[in-house]
Amino acid sequence: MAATNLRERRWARFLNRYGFILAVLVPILLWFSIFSFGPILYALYASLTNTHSLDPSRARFVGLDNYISLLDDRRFLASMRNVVQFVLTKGVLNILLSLGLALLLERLRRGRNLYLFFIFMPVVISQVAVAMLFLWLYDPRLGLINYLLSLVEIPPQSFIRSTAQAIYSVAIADVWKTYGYAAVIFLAGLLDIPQDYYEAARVDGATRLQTLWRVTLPLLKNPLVLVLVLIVIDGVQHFTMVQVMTGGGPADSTLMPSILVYNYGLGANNYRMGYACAISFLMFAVILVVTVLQLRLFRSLYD
Amino acid sequence: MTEVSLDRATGAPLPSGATGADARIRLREQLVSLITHLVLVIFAFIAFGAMMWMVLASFKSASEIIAKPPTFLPEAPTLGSYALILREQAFGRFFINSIVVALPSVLLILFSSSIAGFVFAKFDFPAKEVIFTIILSTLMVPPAVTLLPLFRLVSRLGWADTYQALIIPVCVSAFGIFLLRQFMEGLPSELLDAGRIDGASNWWIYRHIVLPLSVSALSALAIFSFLANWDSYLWPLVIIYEEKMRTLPLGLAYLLGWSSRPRYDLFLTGAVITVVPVVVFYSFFQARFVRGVTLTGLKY
Repeated sequence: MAATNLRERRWARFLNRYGFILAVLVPILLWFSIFSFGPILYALYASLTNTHSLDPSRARFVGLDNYISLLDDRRFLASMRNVVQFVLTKGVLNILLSLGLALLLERLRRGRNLYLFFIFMPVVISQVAVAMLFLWLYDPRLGLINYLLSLVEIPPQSFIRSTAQAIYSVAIADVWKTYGYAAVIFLAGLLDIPQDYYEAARVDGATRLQTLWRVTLPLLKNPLVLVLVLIVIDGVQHFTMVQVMTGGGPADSTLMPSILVYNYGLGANNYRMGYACAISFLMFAVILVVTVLQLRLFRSLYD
Repeated sequence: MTEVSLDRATGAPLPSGATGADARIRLREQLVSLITHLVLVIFAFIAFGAMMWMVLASFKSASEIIAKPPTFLPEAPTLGSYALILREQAFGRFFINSIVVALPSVLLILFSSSIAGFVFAKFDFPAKEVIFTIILSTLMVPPAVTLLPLFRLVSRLGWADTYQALIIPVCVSAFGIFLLRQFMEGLPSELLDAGRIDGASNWWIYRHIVLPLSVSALSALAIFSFLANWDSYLWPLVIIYEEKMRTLPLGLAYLLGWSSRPRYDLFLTGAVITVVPVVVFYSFFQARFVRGVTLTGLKY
């Protein structure tokens, strides 16, 4: 009798202390197990098998075979080359434009928000809509860009229809949509710099360019690292705009790893889930490395 | 003509000794300011002009859209593209689908993130940091990793072509939990203790103290997750087959295969229908959007 009483009292105290926590965390962790941890672990397992996407019952363990075959899969290697080109093009243009824009906006005494209103708008609209807009702008015969080029006597370009220009064309469309975002991050960083620093530089007789190079940019290191990391992580995973604009073509010249995962995993005549999962895990590995580097960099910046 | 130089800040005439060199410096400053504004106007025009042109194009006839030289303002404004796209492509239905998916997703994310954030911020329990770190680390995993396993799982559940297939797998957000925990750790614990002494339950404290104090973080999360959801393309592409279950991005992308030659009139009209709700919200809450997206922005 006393023993049950004690047990009951302990249980009551336990519930009193942890009841709410459990009531919240159990469903949350259940959700994560089903829709996040579980699928991630399953993908890792699948990447070591020859699992068929629609009929996993015949799966056979193949060790690292999928990863090894990737090394001489032409389409995979093409996607790697493309993603590097995409990230580099996007990174350079994005940072130049957004940094330049932020420097201009910082000088303003008023009207900053009005300009930001327009420049930030592409950031919030849907990627598929932006892809549609650029399909039109890039159309070799009917598009605005070739029309504008014809006004200055430049022959028409084929943009996303040419293997040479396609990857740059989709990267530029992506820059149009995203640089306003980086600009806001840079602007916040610029506005955080105390005016005394500029005062001191002026007293020392620094030119504008010297001030930019020696004062502003070093103090912008954190936002710069952040924007760079976002560009790399976002670029490595990019799917939507390229898939809609080119589907990875022409001749795989804009094929992205995510598109390849989709094609290998769910494309007709493929359904190679194990193989596709191996690609997705390599993407994960790249993002992991970038994130660790970022954390390291941030730590050393703060020290 | 007598030169009267004005102080830029106050507009008052400067002492006459300050003319000459000062006037030249001021002229240069004004020139720089003019160029700054000119460049900014170009930036704004490239961003906004392209979108405006798309909106205007949606009111042009199919032949005017591909006319050369291109027109900016519609010569004969027509709602023909809208009529066509609503009749032939069920864009009204796609619009409703997008809303039916986005609203519950965002509400569930707000609820789960805030209550889990509350637990992680204001309670102590064994393995707290371990659990939190594991949840947080899922942020590094690209969607491509879980895509195929989730496709299998959700298909096995028989959810293909349902709303819950688009809601349940996205209704909890590791990032939201992280954001709300960070925010709630800044809330003074004394406030919560005061509630506890009065005998209030944890749920009551969450509902009446913590939530009202977290509105700014919640609105940032709401904007971020709404945009992500409205934009979502890959997951619906995988799990939705039936035309009537398509969301706007999906319906828009399917226009590409609708006819053998590109129908830019429909592409652009569909794109306008897709972006209008977002742009309207954005116009009203611009400052919140910019702040919210930068505060929460892991992705764009």
